[in-house]
Amino acid sequence: MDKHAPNKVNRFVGLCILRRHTGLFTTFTLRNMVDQVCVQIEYELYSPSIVSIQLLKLERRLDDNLLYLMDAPHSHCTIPFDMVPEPYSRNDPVPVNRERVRLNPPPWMCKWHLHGYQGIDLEHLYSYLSDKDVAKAIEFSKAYKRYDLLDQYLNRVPVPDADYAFKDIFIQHQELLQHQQQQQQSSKNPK
Amino acid sequence: LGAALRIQAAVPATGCCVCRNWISTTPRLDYIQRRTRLRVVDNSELGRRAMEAGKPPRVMHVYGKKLKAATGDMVMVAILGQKRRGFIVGARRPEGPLRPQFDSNNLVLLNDEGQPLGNRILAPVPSFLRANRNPKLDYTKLLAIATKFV
Repeated sequence: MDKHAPNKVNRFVGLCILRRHTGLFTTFTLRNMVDQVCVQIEYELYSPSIVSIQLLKLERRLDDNLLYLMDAPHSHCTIPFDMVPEPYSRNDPVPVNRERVRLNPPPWMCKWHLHGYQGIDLEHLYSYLSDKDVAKAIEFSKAYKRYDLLDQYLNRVPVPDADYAFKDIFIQHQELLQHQQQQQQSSKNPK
Repeated sequence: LGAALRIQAAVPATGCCVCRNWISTTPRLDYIQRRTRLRVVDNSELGRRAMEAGKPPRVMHVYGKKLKAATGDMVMVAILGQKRRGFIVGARRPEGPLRPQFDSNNLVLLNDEGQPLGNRILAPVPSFLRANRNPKLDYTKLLAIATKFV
């Protein structure tokens, strides 16, 4: 509802790239290309200014938000204003669009490689980055493993097994420690 | 940062985001202020030449006793060696709910009387500008040459 528009209603069509907040101020952001210019508008879901929300296509993507489309070719977020709504059934699961987007060459608005996006063509993304950045990105993608308890449990050697294996080498291990101590002492003595 | 701006900082959260601070947490620097380069979106001759030459206008001064300009503000720009007034019709910085945000900072060139130099605006113009709230400038004629409102 737009008090300035001729019909008092302003219609916008776009791809939902982001949903934020909860409760009364839940917002969603639509992105579209209008006259070769990309526009993003954030709408409050429960705002009385919104007359209606019409779903044109029901779809999920691989990520929570599609902010990386700001650095992607405009074809990915171009939705025609006269798009015919596609029918969907409430009982069916939401279809997942497994599209992987190829970003434009850098500079980017954000370090997209450091946020764990699955919807970006990672091989293509890493081709723009230096080896150091790629290593950082890969390290980041594994950073959650610190909290992955099941992973730690499965990869951990059970204590009885570890003891059993260690028993065999216990004597040699002690000798090694003694040897190391002697090395340290002999390096200190000349001083 | 306000809540509206936080997502625009370089920390969009995804499911597996971990609280390690090697992501830069500076906000996106998207203010329009002096030295900012803008994109001319009208069909004026001067604007077209400047954009084609790869010399976009740079803000020299923001009218209205403030340092930062946003959509609906008048600015003075340096364009191809000339000083011109301009009106900002679109900004990268998010304005808030129901207000559009653009991928570029869009400018319409004005003459000294505040009339637009071109006769058509090629980019969509935010609808809230129709309230005509700038005390320094009556930009009704500018809205008249706009092709599309968003």
